[in-house]
Amino acid sequence: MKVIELIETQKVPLELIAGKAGIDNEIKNDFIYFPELLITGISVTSGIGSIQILTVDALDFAGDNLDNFKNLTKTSPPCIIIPHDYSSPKALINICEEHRIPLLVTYLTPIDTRNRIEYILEREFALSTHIHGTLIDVFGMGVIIQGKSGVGKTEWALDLVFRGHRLVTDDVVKVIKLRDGKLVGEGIEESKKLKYHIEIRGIGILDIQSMFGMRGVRERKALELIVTLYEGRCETLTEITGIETRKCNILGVELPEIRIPVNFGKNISSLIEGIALNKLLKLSGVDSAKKFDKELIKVMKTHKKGKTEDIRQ
Amino acid sequence: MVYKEKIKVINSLGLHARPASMIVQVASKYDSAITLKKDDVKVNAKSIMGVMLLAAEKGSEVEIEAIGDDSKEAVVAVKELFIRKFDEE
Repeated sequence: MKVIELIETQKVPLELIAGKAGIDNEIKNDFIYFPELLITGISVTSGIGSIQILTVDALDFAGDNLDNFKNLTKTSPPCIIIPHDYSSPKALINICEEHRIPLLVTYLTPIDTRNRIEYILEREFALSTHIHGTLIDVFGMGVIIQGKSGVGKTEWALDLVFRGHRLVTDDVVKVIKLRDGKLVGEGIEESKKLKYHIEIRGIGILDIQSMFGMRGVRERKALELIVTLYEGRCETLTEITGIETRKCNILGVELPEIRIPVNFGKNISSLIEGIALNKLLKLSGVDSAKKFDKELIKVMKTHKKGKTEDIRQ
Repeated sequence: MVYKEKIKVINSLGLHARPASMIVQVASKYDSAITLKKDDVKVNAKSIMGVMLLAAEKGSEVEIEAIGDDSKEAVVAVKELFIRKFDEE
């Protein structure tokens, strides 16, 4: 990501004051550095190539001293940010022009600035991968519908949008892994530019956002579930009671995977709604399958007791 | 062709979810109509809810009945699960 791209996201209000020549500087890592020690001339090893945010303390210390600001260039920052709309010292402007470091001013506080930039950079530098499937937000659960082409992923996604759920992306999902281990899915760059179009065999290309408005679409969504559609019959134990769930590994994070056999007469979208609701219920602490099994075992135990009592009588 | 056999439940937890799903999985492989009967209740062995609702505890007796061309094989296969204690113990 370049400095100019960071400014153009418009997610952080940044105004260029000096160092325009360095606007194409590459931001090489997602670390944000407060150069309070660096500015005093103490040599540091952290923050190399990182964006710097000057705090009040740093500015107070430096005054308008050229040497102090020169220290900042030791870690070759892609850009330097001044928060709180503080006026930038002449010396700093000169240094920035000379070293081609964009000097940016924002009205935000240092912490706010850091948080917002980190949010952008975390996603920029996160591990990512692409998955073939359709991502849709069902009752607030991010569901990826997977399956061979022709199995009906997009058709069922359209049906889900009709039911009031929100499409994130069709066909290719870009999945990124955040620092806290959560997975987030969104469309790839090209599909983001082209915005929420799906292709259904026999109908052609549909513009979901125009058809349904904003309530039918969503930019990105944390992933909670994978639903795999396949043709054929139910195969394994886990799929019968749902006590144990199959797991699917994406970027080292395990997501529950539910496999649904698709055959004639099944309404897959209501099944997916059911799966999403059941997942919500699980998140709230109720595991229907496990609870049922527990109750069943209890019922059987009372049977036994009843019988021994019968014998005694 | 009808074939039936009686078998005792010997695993300690009885026919709870896991054993029941094993029965359904095995029973589904056969074309015969397979039923389980305990006391007066008769259920389809290919339906998980039915098998669980038998609530067959340890020590109870279940009758496995199959009707069809592969009835004997089916009953033997299901019986085998009971004998193996559903791999639980």
